[in-house]
Amino acid sequence: MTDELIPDDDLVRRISQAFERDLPPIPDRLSDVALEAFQWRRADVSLAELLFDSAHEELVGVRGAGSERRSFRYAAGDAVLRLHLTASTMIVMVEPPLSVTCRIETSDDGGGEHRTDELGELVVDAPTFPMRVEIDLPGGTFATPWITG
Amino acid sequence: MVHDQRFSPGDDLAVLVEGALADTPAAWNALVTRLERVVWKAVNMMTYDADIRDDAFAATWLRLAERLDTIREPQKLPGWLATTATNEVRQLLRQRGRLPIGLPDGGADSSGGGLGSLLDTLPGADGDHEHALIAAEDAQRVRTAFRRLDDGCRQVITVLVLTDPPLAYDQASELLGRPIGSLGPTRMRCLEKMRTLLEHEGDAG
Repeated sequence: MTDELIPDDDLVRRISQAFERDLPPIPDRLSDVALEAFQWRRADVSLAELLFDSAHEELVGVRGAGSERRSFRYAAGDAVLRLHLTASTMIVMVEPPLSVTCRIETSDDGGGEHRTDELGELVVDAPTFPMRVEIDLPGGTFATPWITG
Repeated sequence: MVHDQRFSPGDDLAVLVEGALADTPAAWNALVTRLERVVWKAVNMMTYDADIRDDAFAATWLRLAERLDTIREPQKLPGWLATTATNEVRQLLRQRGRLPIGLPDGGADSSGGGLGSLLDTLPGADGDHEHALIAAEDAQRVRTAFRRLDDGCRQVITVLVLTDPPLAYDQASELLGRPIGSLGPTRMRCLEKMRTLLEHEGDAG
């Protein structure tokens, strides 16, 4: 038995060719988006680790999909970052409570810089997707992975 | 765009990844040029919903920029990108409550392909026309059967199609979020399902 997922099947090749023959050209605007993605790379920022995504929980055994609310929890060094998204707002919570600089980044540059209050909370208008949240903590700057929708 | 002579799309993937990790935009640009078609094909195989297809394409590149320093084997980046793209499509389909299946061949598919456009543009003798017609019909039959698969099977087969070189089972398991022991049986089950669907489409073999 091989230890690799090898596409050794004629049927797999046939499927590949079926899609290849009518594959539309990549729109220039999408190629540009791919090129511009590099500007969002931040080697000096640590990636917060996803601990919880309500979308994953809701999908288990629940008919239908999509939700007007979504929650995330991330480990950011010794702190925990919570995000609660609705159609109109996003609540950011830092635990333990800290007043820190928080940047909302969207790939269309529609985000902004804010500060959590002394309870570690912040309420902003719901950002567009894809978006991520970057926070300056005493131990360094952390960013959530991109939330794409 | 300023071209950096040090990097070109034909360079070794390890060189391009290393260059991008060193914050050289030209290396990233070469990576995109080299591999964007892998991502594009993955999202097109997974869905015909143009919004989701485009958003998943964009999200995949954001994800690579974010995770570039976690790429352990640059040679397997095509597989990583294909798998990530299929994951993004599935996530978006669920979040937006869309049906995974899009428009049929011959409909208002933004691909601009399909039999009608093919017949309008075919060059050559009648024999060439006939050969192309048969090939086009076969491709359409395969695509129709493929889009009748559940999105889990479409994902597994899409990853199979686009991972060159192949992903190791442990890597595929991690990226697909499936137990390592389930990959072989799942692949077998999905291909068998595809064969059955093709038979229903009148496939001659």
